[in-house]
Amino acid sequence: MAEAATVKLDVPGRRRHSWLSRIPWFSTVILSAVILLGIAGPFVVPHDPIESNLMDSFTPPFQAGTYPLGTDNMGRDVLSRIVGGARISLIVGMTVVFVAGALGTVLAMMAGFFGGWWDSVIMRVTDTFLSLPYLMVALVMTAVLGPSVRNIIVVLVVIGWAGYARVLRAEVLKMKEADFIRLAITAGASRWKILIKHIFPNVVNTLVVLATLQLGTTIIAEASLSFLGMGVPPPHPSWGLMLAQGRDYITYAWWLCVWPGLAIMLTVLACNLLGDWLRVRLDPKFRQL
Amino acid sequence: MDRTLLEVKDLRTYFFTKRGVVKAVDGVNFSLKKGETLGLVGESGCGKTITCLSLVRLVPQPAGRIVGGRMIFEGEDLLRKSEKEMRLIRGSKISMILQDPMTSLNPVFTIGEQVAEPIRLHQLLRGTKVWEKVKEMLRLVRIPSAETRIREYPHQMSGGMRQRIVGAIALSCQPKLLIADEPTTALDVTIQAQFLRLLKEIQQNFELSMILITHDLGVVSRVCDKVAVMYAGKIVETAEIRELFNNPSHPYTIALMSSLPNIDRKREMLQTIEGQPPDLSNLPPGCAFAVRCPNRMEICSGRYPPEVGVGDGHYVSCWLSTPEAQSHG
Amino acid sequence: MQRYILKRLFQAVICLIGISIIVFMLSRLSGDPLTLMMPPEATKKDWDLMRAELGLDKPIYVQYWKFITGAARGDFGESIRWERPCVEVFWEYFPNTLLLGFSAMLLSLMIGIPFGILSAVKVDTWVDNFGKIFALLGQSLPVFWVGIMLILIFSVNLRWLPTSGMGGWENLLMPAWTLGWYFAAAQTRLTRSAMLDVLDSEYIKLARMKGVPERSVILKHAFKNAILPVITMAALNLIVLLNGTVITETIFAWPGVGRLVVQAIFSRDYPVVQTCVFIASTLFVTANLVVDILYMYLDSRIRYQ
Repeated sequence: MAEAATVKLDVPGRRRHSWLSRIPWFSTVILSAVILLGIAGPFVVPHDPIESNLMDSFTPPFQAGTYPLGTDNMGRDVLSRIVGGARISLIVGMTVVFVAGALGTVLAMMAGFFGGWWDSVIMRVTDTFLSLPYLMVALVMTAVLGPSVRNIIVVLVVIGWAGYARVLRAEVLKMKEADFIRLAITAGASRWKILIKHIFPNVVNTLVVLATLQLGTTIIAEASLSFLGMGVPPPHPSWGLMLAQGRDYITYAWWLCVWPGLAIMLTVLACNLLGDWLRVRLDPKFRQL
Repeated sequence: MDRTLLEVKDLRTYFFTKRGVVKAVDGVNFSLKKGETLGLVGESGCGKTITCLSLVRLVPQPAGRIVGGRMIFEGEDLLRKSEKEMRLIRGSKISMILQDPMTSLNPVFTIGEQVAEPIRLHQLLRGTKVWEKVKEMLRLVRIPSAETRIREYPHQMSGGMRQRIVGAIALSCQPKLLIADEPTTALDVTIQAQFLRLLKEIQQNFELSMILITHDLGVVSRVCDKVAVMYAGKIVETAEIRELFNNPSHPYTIALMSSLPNIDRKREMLQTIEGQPPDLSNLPPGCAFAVRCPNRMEICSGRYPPEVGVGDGHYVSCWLSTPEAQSHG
Repeated sequence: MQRYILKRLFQAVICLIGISIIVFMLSRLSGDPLTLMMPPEATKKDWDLMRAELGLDKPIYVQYWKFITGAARGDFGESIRWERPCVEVFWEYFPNTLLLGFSAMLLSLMIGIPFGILSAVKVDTWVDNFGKIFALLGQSLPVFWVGIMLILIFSVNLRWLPTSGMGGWENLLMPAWTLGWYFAAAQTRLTRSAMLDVLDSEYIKLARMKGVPERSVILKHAFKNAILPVITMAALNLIVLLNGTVITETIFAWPGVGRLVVQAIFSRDYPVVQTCVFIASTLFVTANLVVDILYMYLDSRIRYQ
């Protein structure tokens, strides 16, 4: 008696793979666009984002003229300003993420791996910084130091490093018990060497995910500061500043608020999606942050 | 009078995954009489649990699906029943006990609540009558001071006690069939014996049929009347308990038995079964055990052996037991 | 258990000391805090008077000691602008922020939890995808844009709701929604993941095996277990809430602490600023502490590993 031939059954398809893993194209496109605009923007824009042209003020968008997204109250081309804003957001965002990330990572590794006194002190400092209402503190600090791009970066780094430190320390603690670390210690490697060679490569995954997500958060923070008037000083085109300025004219120039907001949203969305995608790809055990 | 409670014919349950179709249960046949205990034995992943989940139609979805066969329980095919009808059967006519008592009980409800729930659902009792029944069940499974226990939470009890409570829940509506999935694996050896004795007693008093899933032949020998050995989604041998121990025919069964340490024989190496458990998404056309079988023949990997009788109530699916195969060599 | 509480208490105190140092330093970051506070037309005599009055002529550790002992008593000095004790000013504005905050939290829970449960139950279907998109959007939209868009739609175009100020429930609706938007998204995500975790457990399987109807399995058996992380997160989100109030209150001219801080910064009223930041941080540290202890207590009931 022969075994029955394999039953031909329809396989209900797509379920297993999360829809998220198909999305990075969106993030890649958006973020590449932002980066490109940030780098090449000033050379590509149709108008000077800073120069005012009162004759053309309040031109609505989508008209067949030279201002595709309209102009603001000073006659400046909104599109050009958006491109300029991209550059600011990018510079601030990436610098802050890089510096805060580096600082937070180093401290986390020290706290987690060296343990004892180091851990207690670093953790207490981290806790303290994490308990501060970041926007309030950022506002005050910027007000005191004076609004400028450099100061904003400094302020956001001071506030931001603690987030990295806490998360990464947890990762380092998990790894401390791993066998290969014990092996390295018994083999006589120095503590710093172990940190750099063994621990860091393993926390890099988490760091990358966190950094990507924090990029979005930092951009929003910068925009918030600018919105409240304590960010990038005018006439620099910051998205947040554009929103603040546009608010006054909202009743008859709706486009002044919509485009900058859209720009922020798309960029941050792209960061979040990318971060999620990376999280799924790099560490499937990762739960909600 | 027909004493058959359950008859399973050609049950097939497949899982449809990205990697292919996993044939977890592939043509399983067995029957169970009233008051009888069937032991379902095999390695992890051979399909024992899925078979029983199929019986109550709780196969994990959406990947899993019962694709064929019949399950005749008390004269009716369970596969033809609606979900609502199944829900009425679950917990009242057919009950199940799971493996890990530590996680089987809901941590946020009291013991009393959890035992009372099926009673309320299926027996439609209300008020104090429910609590009387709850206490009765707790006494049945030998939980001391049932009065106070009712108000306690699972985390306040030991593993053995929790398993007994799970038993109480399962038995609260006087089911006809109890399925126990490795009920003693997570328990200490001494507690195991107690629990099995308890099950046996209850079974005798209530004419309860049981399906006991286990990989432990020792447990089987103590509690079961009949045994079915599973491998790669199919039943390869089935027999009454004594017959199986005296006369194992399938090479897999023989291997299982010889891997049990024997107190009488001195200082032997523990026998292991060579090879790896089969990949259920990639089964060969013939006997799945052939690659690991010390007595394999050429025909074994090519065609699946038919089920033949080798004794009273003793059936095997193995070419070695089929006279025709002998001539092929 | 006691040891844990003591340890956490100790940590919280250290935290508070750290916060007080930072707050204290805030107005002294660029040197003489007086430069921030004095109007440009002030004469040297005004400066000296002010310096003596604020105690800024004393050595720094004396100043700090005065600050922290004052803070412990609830005395943060006087507001420059209003010439009243800072705490008084603070407590005048604080209830409004509380009202806004609670409304926002309530809104977000009312939306986030059902969405989260639905997403978890119908995992991987279009319902779930919709929920995920909602959650994603919620966490990507900056607070001020949500506020402005709401004003654009509901005040400017539809003329249904007033743009600012405090008053009846119509005034509360948009600010609460603006503030709560981010949380609704976060709650959805959290509820979904908590539910998915719980739905996977053995006792849920057993509940199904008892013949419990599915709706009861989800809402009674599963949700009661999932709710704990959801609630703790809600409590801890307090500080993100505080951040949001700064912007929301500014946009909607809501008279709360957020707006107070912004106004104080612009009018250089640093005593008030210090007060707000310090109290806000203290609230957060306290909330954290309480939640941690509660969690520890509840967890010992739930722990079954």
